[in-house]
Amino acid sequence: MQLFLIILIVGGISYVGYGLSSYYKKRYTLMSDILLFCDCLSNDIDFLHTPVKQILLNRNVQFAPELNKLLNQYKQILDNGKLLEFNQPISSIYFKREEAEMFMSLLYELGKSDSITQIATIKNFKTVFTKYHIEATEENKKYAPLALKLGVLIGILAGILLI
Amino acid sequence: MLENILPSEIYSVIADKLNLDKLCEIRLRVNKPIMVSVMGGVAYLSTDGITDKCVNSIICSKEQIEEVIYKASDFSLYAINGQIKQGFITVKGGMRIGLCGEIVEEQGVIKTLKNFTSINIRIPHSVQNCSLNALKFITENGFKNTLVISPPGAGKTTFLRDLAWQFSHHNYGYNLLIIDERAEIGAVSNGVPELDVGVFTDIYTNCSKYFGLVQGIRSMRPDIVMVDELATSDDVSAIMYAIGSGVKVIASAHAYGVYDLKVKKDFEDIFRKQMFSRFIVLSNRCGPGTYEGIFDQNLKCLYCP
Repeated sequence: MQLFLIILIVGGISYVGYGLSSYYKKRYTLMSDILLFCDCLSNDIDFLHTPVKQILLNRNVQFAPELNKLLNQYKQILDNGKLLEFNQPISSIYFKREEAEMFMSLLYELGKSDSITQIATIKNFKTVFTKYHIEATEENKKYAPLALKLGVLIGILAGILLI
Repeated sequence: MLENILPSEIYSVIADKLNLDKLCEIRLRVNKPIMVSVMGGVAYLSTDGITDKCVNSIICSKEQIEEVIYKASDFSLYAINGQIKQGFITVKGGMRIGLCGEIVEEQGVIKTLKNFTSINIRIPHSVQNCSLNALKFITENGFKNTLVISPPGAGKTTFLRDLAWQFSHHNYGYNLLIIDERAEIGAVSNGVPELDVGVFTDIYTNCSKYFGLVQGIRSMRPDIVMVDELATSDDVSAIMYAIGSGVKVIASAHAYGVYDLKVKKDFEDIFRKQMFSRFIVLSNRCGPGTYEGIFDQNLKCLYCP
């Protein structure tokens, strides 16, 4: 029974470490996907003038679930004929507050002007998200393995102390 | 259709209090009362329905106008900037939204419109047999080139739509090509006409009259071509090209009557070269589509109700 409890505690703490590590990885993936999404938007708007809903429907690049979930929420709002509102934000736990606001602003601006203005706006957002992407990449490199290792180590330490 | 573009607070009043089958037009102006046109009569829109008192009316905000335009563009203004530049948007179902605002111009070329100040939503209706009285004047003793004349909002497009349907319905066997510049006659959406224009009919949508006529005559071998709203000398030239190609033409133009049209400089050739053999004049006098007369090429009245 005691051994089972120790294994459970070690596993639990290690899992927390894994979770933290996974958070940084997913945050990094989300930022990479947003940059890719900006490129898709630019291409579709510039050359084909594809409407936003159509772009969301025919996403030719398969994004990771983190961004897909956000885009599906946005598409749902448009499909219901509603306007995007800042008091009902589309956000993710992988965003920091400033990043979430920036992502909302990107969605809010979509489709609200002619193609030249849209391309320029998306380019500006891409510049900002590139900065976030660099931060997320560094955090992922620095903290993801660290969190995992720490989780396992603290778990083992806790196990030893209990024994 | 309207529910997809109007702000919910305006649509709920219209849907609850008005007969949508009789609604012809909705006008929204920034910080001004919303006005509706029901079977030719104009009134203010209030929370209780239509009213003739301005004080009870619903006031439209700038945000509401922007919402209508944004929704009408399917949340993508850039996708319809070509239409915006021309001052209108055509929405699914053939609804046409006229736009008014600040024009963005660069080196004499209109780039887009911004800061919209007012919009005019025109709702199309099929009025079956509204062109029946004119049909025999157009078709007897050979098909006649015909020009339908009326002031704005007096039923020209509805008349043309029904005429297109009548050709198929009476089985004349004419191949009719409609150059539907603003997608109003057939209300084509995703390649499917939402309003019935008959089985012998082909439609070019969202293209200029000249391009449509040149391309269409070459590729579709029409017997008759139909175009809406001749306005400039270029349009008249396009019609001349069609007539010169051996195709019969049905067209429409804005004027109060034949003589008003005659004084328009761009339309001189129409009368000088007797391009049309029938002039059908419509008005709003007893509601849209009221016949004011049918004239021949010498402007002799053939039918004067």
